[in-house]
Amino acid sequence: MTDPYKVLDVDRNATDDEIKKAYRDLVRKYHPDKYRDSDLADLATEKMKEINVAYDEIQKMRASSSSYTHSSSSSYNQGSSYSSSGIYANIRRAINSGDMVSAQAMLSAISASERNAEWNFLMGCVLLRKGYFIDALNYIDIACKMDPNNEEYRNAKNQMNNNASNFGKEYRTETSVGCCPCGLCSSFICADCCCNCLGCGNRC
Amino acid sequence: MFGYIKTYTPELKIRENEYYKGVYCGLCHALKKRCGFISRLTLSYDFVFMVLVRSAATDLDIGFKNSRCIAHPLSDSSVAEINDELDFAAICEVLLYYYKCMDDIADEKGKKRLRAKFIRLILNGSRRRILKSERASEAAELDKYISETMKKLYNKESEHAPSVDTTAEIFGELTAYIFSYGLCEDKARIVRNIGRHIGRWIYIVDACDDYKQDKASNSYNPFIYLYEGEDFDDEKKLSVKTALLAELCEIEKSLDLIDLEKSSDICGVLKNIIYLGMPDVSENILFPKSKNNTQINS
Repeated sequence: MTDPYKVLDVDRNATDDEIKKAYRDLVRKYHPDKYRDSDLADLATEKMKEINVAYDEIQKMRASSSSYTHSSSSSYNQGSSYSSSGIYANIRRAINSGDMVSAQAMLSAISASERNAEWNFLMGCVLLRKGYFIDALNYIDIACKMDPNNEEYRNAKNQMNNNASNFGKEYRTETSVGCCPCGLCSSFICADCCCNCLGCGNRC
Repeated sequence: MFGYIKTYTPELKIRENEYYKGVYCGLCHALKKRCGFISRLTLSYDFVFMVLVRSAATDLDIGFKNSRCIAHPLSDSSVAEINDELDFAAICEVLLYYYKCMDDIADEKGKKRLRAKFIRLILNGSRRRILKSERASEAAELDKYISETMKKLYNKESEHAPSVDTTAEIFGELTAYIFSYGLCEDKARIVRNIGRHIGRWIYIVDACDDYKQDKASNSYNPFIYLYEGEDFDDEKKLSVKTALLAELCEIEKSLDLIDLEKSSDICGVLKNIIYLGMPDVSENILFPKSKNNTQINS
């Protein structure tokens, strides 16, 4: 039987608050949303189960009266209504249901002369989910240029560029690096933040 | 292609730096033992990263001993003892470098081409030695895969498609295979994913590094075709930087699934590489600091 304190990486004498913090940090680290597009999603789910079991056990052992819910760092964007017509509505539906193959096929079938800003944006979203980050961001950039007033495309690009809170922040805080040594990096991306583009939820 | 995966030394603990250098020295010794003295010219820190990832995934403890060598003639230094992982890395290093030379011979012109031909000639001896050794069957498998994938990459590049990721993906397939070779499947899955994103990251950074030169000499560079004649300006570079961090995010997620002892040197070195070292390398390539503080335009 694995020691639940070891699983949460806390001292046996840790306070309830310290245990809660450790639990939340681990949930953030292995959250299923983070691994949604990863080949290793099942391993992360197993890890989450282990963490939840350990937390439950510590709670029972301490006979704590506080009830808890599985903390999720996701904030869900309850379906922002970005309207789309015809073929693009179908493509968005395919993307939302995770069918990237169909989405990409439908996009490729549209002739070059008809490839507007929405086409570029949706192609970018498909490629983001595929992990083709360079090409994806290029398409999204083109979409923003073709339709500079489009809120959806601008928001998607801004979110990606302004998300400075995630990659390496905790590590740099722990190692007490003051100014980022990489020259004040200002652009970070969560690979899964594209779901915010389509109003189906984000964890940022 | 080589030399991009390294630590950001100013933020490494002294003992972590000693550990890192010790593994590097161990790799050098492994190269000499397996492939002969001359193969040491292929030595790079990139493969130290691979040794560390594979060792972490398989819970392999790296032993150290004091030793002197040609690079440290005056004093003993702590050197990793040659083990299966260091030997494997030495074999991969020679084979990959050999096929990189073949690639340069096909792609490059003038002095670079001549240099590649010369190095290939030297490495051929080492490669033949590996292919006749007691690890011949493994080496032959690796050699075949590297050769075929490099050919696949060359063919893809020749299409001049407006995409960086489709070519980066092929190089990622190659590194995924090498990183996870011989590991049992539950470990191989994680290490393969790390290998894939490391390969993609290297390919993209290498293309950024060579962009100016390739454009000037009319050589292949995937960014030239992606941007279809437009300049590789700062706005595009910011997007590339974001994408590179996304690759590092994926590596982080996979590394998190390996149970690394938080206080261990191996954990400290790996985290320094992905959180500080690699971002620093890509930052200096995309936004180099020139003497008079202006950005170099492509």
